[in-house]
Amino acid sequence: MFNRAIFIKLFVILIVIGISSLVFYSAVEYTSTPEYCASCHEMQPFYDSWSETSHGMKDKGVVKAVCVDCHLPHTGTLAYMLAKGKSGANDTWAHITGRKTDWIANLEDSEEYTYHTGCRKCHVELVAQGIPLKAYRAHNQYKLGETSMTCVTCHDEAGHGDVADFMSADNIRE
Amino acid sequence: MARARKLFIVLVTVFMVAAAFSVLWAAEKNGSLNLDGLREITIDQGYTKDAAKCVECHAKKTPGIVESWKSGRMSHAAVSCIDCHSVKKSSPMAGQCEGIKGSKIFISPMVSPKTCARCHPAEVEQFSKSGHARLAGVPVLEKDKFQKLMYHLEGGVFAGNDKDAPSVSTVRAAGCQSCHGGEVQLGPDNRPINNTWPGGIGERYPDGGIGNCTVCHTRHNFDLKEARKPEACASCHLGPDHPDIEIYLSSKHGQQFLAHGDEWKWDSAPGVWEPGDYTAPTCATCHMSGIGDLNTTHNINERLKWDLVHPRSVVRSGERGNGEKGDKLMRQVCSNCHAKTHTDVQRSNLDNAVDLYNFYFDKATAMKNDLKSKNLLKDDPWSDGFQELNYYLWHHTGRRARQGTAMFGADYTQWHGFFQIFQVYKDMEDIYDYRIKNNKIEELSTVMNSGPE
Repeated sequence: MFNRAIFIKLFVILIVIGISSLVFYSAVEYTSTPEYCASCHEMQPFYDSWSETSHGMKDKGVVKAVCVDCHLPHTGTLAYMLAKGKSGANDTWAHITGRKTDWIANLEDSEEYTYHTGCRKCHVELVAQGIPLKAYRAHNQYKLGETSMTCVTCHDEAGHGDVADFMSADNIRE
Repeated sequence: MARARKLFIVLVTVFMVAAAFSVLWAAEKNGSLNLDGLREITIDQGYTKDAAKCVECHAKKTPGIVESWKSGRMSHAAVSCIDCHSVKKSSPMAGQCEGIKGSKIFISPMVSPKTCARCHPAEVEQFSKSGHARLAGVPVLEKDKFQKLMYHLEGGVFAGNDKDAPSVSTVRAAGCQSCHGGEVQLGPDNRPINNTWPGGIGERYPDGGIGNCTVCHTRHNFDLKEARKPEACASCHLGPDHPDIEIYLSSKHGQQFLAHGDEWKWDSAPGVWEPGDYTAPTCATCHMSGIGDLNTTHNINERLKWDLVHPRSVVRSGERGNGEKGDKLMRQVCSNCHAKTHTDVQRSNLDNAVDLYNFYFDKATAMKNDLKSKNLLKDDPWSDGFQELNYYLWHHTGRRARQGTAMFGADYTQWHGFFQIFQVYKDMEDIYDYRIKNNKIEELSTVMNSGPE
């Protein structure tokens, strides 16, 4: 009754799946650090400008959010991995082919590549008691789904400060 | 007695001179001779140091602005100068006034809807989809005919005025742009030049923002009551080509407003300004306000069925709205005060007025096309009686008839409307007949250039 061959095959498959998962997980971890992102020189100004904000290391060097926290969707593992794969492939291809990007012009579309689902992982309470009156109104409309504007529409300096100014001020290392 | 009086006068004089000197001495000691205490504001709480500094300085420099802000809603929400006027250093509009020169703060006198959206995102989104935003600026900025009218014709270039003279842009800057909006041009210090700012409701700003919220919500008071009153609309929706305020004031709705408006409650919270607060609607009530089950909208196209603005009236579609849906929404507005029978009559009056106007317009267009095909139209429409009348037909009398009917201004449906439409049409017919019969254009136009009033 006991089929030894099938058992061994199943055992080997499980081991292989386990090891690949570990390798895959480490790869995801490894490619999710700001240092990894900045290992391509194109990303250096964004690493530098991020470092100077409170989400970076401005406040006593305590990092509060890294690249993937904001620039990947946090709506589920599948969506996250798909977006990670897609943008990773895009960036790699741009790096290899030397494609230039108009970063300043791209700021117009910052809502498209800064995901509010990322913000919401930490910023859960948007209309908490004690919130300034002037923020209450916009946060409440966002919470009620009355606007399609997202966090970065207003908080456009949260991640990189005045990044357009940073880019124009000779901070770019070619 | 006389001696005593003299002594008294001397004492009073001495006292007054002493008092005057002591005031001057005190002022000198404070380093200024500003005796106007009303202009002094000191802020110790609720604002950052930078925010307070703007208010304190501008209370002296531009006290009217600060007084207006003080009495408005913004100050009650702790929103001050810096919240709306500060911009990023990288903003194309970034500049620095004397008070902040050398600091890390950058400001602009221009405030685009992008800034307003930081606290009022839903309102700005609705507004941006409306005819009050991009579409409003189209004539001034994108239409060749309109440009020619503003500069070449009204600016007097055709009559020999130097085309580079500043006076040529008078009509654009002080006229058209004040309602339609224009496009801000910037000088080397990032401040507006060529009188391209301020502008009306479709103003286009260097930061990409389109629109001007302060047209209805006048700065720096931002009074809710003001935006709800018909006067807010009246600075643009008036005159011979779209006398909307005149139509409203002569309607039953306007009669109620004029007679009882003083007793109405104008400052109910947004969305719950309902019948009872008023006994008749204003422009805002029907076109924007939350009433009954309807939510407030800043998209003024949302509750409209017909396009009553352009040469031929059609049911609104595309960027101009959704007419079928608009009709339903407007009927829903009416239903808050009127039974179905009454509403049906008014809406069918409008449909009929549109049909009648379109009938005249189509016939006029057929004549025009015939003349064009026979080369019997002048190249310059403004010295061609037929084309001038055609313009007045749709732009003046035609709009008055259509909009007058839509908003129950009977005099505008009739005397200012269809009465003149039929006259204009008959004159066009006469000119058409003459040209066809003689196969030539009459030598002089008999049309008065001021047009029918």
